[in-house]
Order: sequence, then C-alpha cells, then structure tokens
Amino acid sequence: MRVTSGHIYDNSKRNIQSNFAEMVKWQNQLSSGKRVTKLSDDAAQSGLLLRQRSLKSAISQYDSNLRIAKDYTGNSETQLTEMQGILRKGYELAVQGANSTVDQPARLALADQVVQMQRRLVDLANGKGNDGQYLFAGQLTDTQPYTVSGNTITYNGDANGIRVETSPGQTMKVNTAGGQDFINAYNQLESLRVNLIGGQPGVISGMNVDALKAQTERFSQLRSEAGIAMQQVKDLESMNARRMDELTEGISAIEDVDFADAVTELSRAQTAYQASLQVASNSFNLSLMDYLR
Amino acid sequence: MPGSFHGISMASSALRAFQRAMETSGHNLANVNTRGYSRQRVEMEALDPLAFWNGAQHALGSGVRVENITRAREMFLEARFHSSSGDFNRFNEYANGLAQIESVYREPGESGIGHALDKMFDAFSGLASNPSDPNAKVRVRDAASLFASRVRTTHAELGTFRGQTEANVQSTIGQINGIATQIATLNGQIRAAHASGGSPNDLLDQRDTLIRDLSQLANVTTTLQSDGTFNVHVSNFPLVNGENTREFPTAIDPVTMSITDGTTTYPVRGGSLLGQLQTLNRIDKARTELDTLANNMRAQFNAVHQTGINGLGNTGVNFFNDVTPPALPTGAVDFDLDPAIRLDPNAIASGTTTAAGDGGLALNLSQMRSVKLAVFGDKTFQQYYAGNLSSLASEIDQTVAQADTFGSVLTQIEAQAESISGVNMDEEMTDLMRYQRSYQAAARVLTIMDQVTEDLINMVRR
Repeated sequence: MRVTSGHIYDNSKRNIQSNFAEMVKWQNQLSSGKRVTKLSDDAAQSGLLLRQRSLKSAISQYDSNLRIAKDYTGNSETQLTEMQGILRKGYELAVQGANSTVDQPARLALADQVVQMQRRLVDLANGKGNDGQYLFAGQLTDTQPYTVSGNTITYNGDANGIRVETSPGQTMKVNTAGGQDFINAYNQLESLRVNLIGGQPGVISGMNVDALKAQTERFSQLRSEAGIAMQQVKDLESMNARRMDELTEGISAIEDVDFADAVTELSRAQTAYQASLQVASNSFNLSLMDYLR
Repeated sequence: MPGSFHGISMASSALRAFQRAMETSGHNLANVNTRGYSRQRVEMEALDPLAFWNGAQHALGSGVRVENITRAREMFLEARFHSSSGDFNRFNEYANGLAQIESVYREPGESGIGHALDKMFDAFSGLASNPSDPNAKVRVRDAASLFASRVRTTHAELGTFRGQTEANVQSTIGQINGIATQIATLNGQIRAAHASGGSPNDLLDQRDTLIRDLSQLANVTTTLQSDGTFNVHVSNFPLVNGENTREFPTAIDPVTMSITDGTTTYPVRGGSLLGQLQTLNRIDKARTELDTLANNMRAQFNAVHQTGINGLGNTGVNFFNDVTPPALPTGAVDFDLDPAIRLDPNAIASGTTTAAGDGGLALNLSQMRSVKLAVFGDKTFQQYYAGNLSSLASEIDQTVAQADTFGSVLTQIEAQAESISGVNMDEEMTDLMRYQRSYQAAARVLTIMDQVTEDLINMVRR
C-alpha cells in the first residue's frame, strides 16, 4: 500500500492520542480508587451493583431497628428482673407472716414493707423506654398503663404487640404484654397485706405463700422470654453485620480498583505511550530532503 | 521534410511540459496538508509526428505535450466512505447522548433516585419499629421529600437535555442547508468548466469534501449528471439539483425518526441527525419511565396511607400529592408529598388506630419495598428503577462498541482513500528532481539545436 506523508502524521497523532487516553484512564482509576463511576463502566454488573447497594441500605436500617428492639427488650428485662425480686421477697414475707410464732406488731411491720413493694411494683409496671414510651402498655405507649385508686389497680393499655422490622418481610415482637400478670401480682401482694394486717397466719400459709410462689415463677418466665428476645436481637445483629460485610465486599469488588492489576496496566500504558512518542519523533525526522543538497 | 527550426520547437515543447510537471508537483506539495485534496498528475503524450518522408516510411517525432492533469481519486471508495461515516456518526452521536442521559441519574452513589428510594423505605421501617419516636415521622417526611424531589429534578434535567438536543437537531439541519448551498454553487462552476472541456480538479475536490461533510450529518446519495453536476439526496429528500437547492424540512418526529415537509415523510437512516433523533426518543422513554414510577408510587402509597389515622386524628389522607379521578395522574413533573404532610409530619399515619405505638401501617409501607407490581412486569419499585438504568447502561455499552466498530471501518476506508489520493512529500521531491533533470536535458537539446542552426547561418554568410 502506498503510504503518504499525511497518513504518517495522522496515524501518529491518532496512536499517541489513544495511548495517552489509555494511560490517563488507568491514572484516573488509580487516583480515585474507583473502577466504576457510572453504570455503563460495567453494564453487565450494573443491576447487581444497584441491588446490593439497595440491600445494604436496608440492612443498615434493620440494624438501627434492632437498636430499638434492644432498648425495648433490655429495659423490659431489667424491670421484670426487679419485679421478680419483689415477688420473691413477697413470698419470703408471706412465709414469715405465716409463722404463728410471729407476733402481730411484727406482722404489721411486714405489711408496711408490702406496701412499699406494691408501690415499687406499680412504678416498675409503668416503666419507660429510652424514648419515654411506656414499655408495658401494648401499643398505647403514651398512656400510663397502670393506675391505682384506693386498693384497686387498673390496666389502661391494650393487648397489641410492638413489632420491629428486622429483615426483609420479617418482624419481631419486642414488648412484654404486662396486662393481667401485673394485676395478679399486685392483687396477691394486696391480699398478703390485708391478711398480715388482719393477723391471719392460717390464710397466709394456706393461700398467699403458694400464690406468691406461683407469681415468682410466672415472672421468672416472663423475664426469660425477654431474655430470649434479647439473645435473638444479638443473633440478628451479628447476622446483619456478616451480611453487611459480604455486601460491602461485593460492592467493592464491582466498584473499586484492583490495585495490583491497575498498576500493571498503567505501567504498560505508559510504556506504550512512550514508545509511540519515540517512534513518532524518529519517523518525523526522516525525509528525502535530508539527503538532497 | 521537417523545417530547419523543427528541433527548436520540439525542445521548447519539452521545456513547457516539464515546467507544467514541476508546477504540479509544487501544487501537490503546497496542498500536502489540505483536507480533501487529491494529488494531481500530469499525463504527457508524444505530439503527433509532424513529417513523413521516404514514402511515409519514416515519421519524425515532434515533441511532447501535456495531455491532461488528472486527480488521483477512487470514486467507489467515496460511496463506502459516505455510508460508514453515516453509521459512525450516528452511533457516536447516540453514544454521547446516552452518556448525557446516564449522567443525569448520578448512579451509582448516594445522590441518585435509587438511594433516596431506599432511604424512604428505611425511614418507614424505622417508623414502624418505633412509632412513638416523634422524630421518626420527621425522618419519613424528609426522606420521602428528598425522593420526590430527586424524581422531579431528574425529570426536569432530562427535559432540559431534550431542549438542547432539539436545538442540536435544528443546528444540524442548518448545516445541511449551508452545505447544500455551497454544493450548488460548485455545481455551477464545475458545469461551466466541464462545458469548456476542462477538468477542474480542485473544484471537484472541494465538492467531494462537502459531500463527505454532509455524509456525517445524514445519509447521502449522489448521482452524477452528464454535465458534471451532482444531484444530492439526503434521507431521500432531493436537496440539491444542479444549481438549485431545496430547504431541508425542519419538522421532526422522534418516534418514527423521520423528518417531514408536511406532505411527505423522509425517514432518516444515518448520520448525527439520526443519532440526535434517537437521543430524543430515548429521553422521552426515560421520562416516561419516571412518570410511571411516580404515578405508581402515588397509587400504591396513597391507597395504604388513606386507611390510616394520622397524628392529627385524620383519616383518608394521601401520602403523595394526587389528583382526584377521573383526572389523570400528573407523572413526575410535579411529584411531591401531599401538602398536609409537607406542612406537618404529624399528618403521616403510622397505624390504623390512634394508639401511639401502632406501627402497622408504616410496616406495610416499609414492606412495599419488596412488593412486586404487575405494571412493572413483576418487579419492585427498586427493581424497576434499577432495571431501567441497567438496560440504559448496556445500551451505552453496545452503542459505544458499534461506534468503535464503524470508527475503525471508517479509519480503514480513509487510509485506503488517503493511500490513493494523499500527497507523499518524498514522491513529489523525486518527481521534482526528475522533471528538473528532464528540463535541464531539454534545455541542452535546445542549446545544441541553436548551435546547429547558428552554424548553418554562419555557413551561408561565408
């Protein structure tokens, strides 16, 4: 093929340009650390990339939902533990009060303790979470769930659960429905108090001791349910953390530069660029005119 | 018998011819960098023998003359150049348009619609999980407002880009008309030169260059007339006929990718004009996709949200702004939150009861994240959006690949054409030296002939 002067210059220009562009491309990738800055940089994986990014965002939200769950279950568990302690103490007082050798002034002193315990129990039943919401009111979180008038306790909450979204399509109930359990506990303490004041060790030993023992066990159960929920939250958290790592890795594999690869490619592009410059400057110097007088 | 001065006139014919040849080499060298220039060659032929003698057995040559100055050009390559140039410019223009469309979306990253959509669902999930937190509703409002505004601005930016592309189309049509006028003028000059029997090489080069330019803008066919003029059709529209031109129509239809003058429709088949029409078409598709997204968002979210009781005790409240049927939903252009929610985040309902801890409705809205809608072809909101973008990305990939392919085809054809028509300086220098030497030799012949004649004259004087 016949080669012309213009052809040599145009070709050199084109080759230098394309080698330069290739070199700049790798320089850009290395300096930004990003392989994909727009979806068409890797069209084949663009769908996967967007899906992973979306899932990652959702999981970080589930993670913060789990903090709410932790708040609920943790606070509930603490309160329930203390309630259980009160009831065990009530049981011990009942055992003491049931002893016929204890005299009446001592029983009245025990009854005073029971009153203190009842007050504490109601305080705990009206306990609040970190956002000031009532923990044992069902969904009526802004209504004080337990009110005492005279010697009667009333539940003002509802029986609905608080559900936290923990993963796509999955929720977890995080509150403990106090309801009747708390009322029973209060009423048993009330019954003990009445019988202590009334000086009836027989009734106490025949009824209150067993009833308070049963209440202690019931609260132990409620407490362990809250404990199981706490464990579940922890498991979900570590599962999310693992999933998050996987997604971060997956996104990075698509978006980020493989440095070893990019450095190799850059030095190859630099060599090619230098070679095209060298060849051009050499061939431009050659001309028939150099050999004419 | 030849006359006494025959030798002198023969030598002078050679001097004239070699002078023309050296001038032509000089012309070639002068135009070594001229775009579209074809190198010219002097064709020489021996002059008809002047005299015969010895019963016409011997013919004596009478010198040389320049028969023609031709230009080296392969017209077959021109046609191939036009078609490849049309394809290359079409795909190149479309690839640029697609890249612009893609850049409007700002994906992947945190500044796009996709991220805002995720964050809105996330905010609903947060509200569902902690309805009694007053900030949860503020977060829902802010996230949804951000999402709506991104849909709106993306739609608006696509609109701006559409306006620019339309302006580009008109500017391309303006260029076509400008080139048409120049071709018509050259047609006139060429016809005149043709009539007087000449070959106006430089004018032909200029016209070929203009047609090459035209082939970048749209698909071109040319027919050579017997008077040397070209009739030019662009997209089947008769643009140039001899020295007359017709205004290229300005009415465009991006759907059929054609132009129309009111009575006839001319489908555009190549060149950057087609790339621009394709871009317009693609922008409209992208905007329709955003409209679909916005309208379904309205329909789905409002239907659920209306069943709830909001923090102000109201029910039947929309989440996104909407019109009352039978008015048609307005799409992405004014997509926003319901005015009540925009005013007060407490107008958001988290549940279907007045209980402060009821997050059931927010949970339903959060789980809308994974609901597949038939209208999206069984895809979720996010999948629909991501699917649209990922098909845009592969379209860019393919278009760039096609532009590259036709680009290298074009480069090859250009190289072939250049190999025939281009000027090689070494070649021209060699020719210059050759004709210089020839000129010196012819001058020598003249000197000798002159001496011979002088001898003869001196002899007579004696």
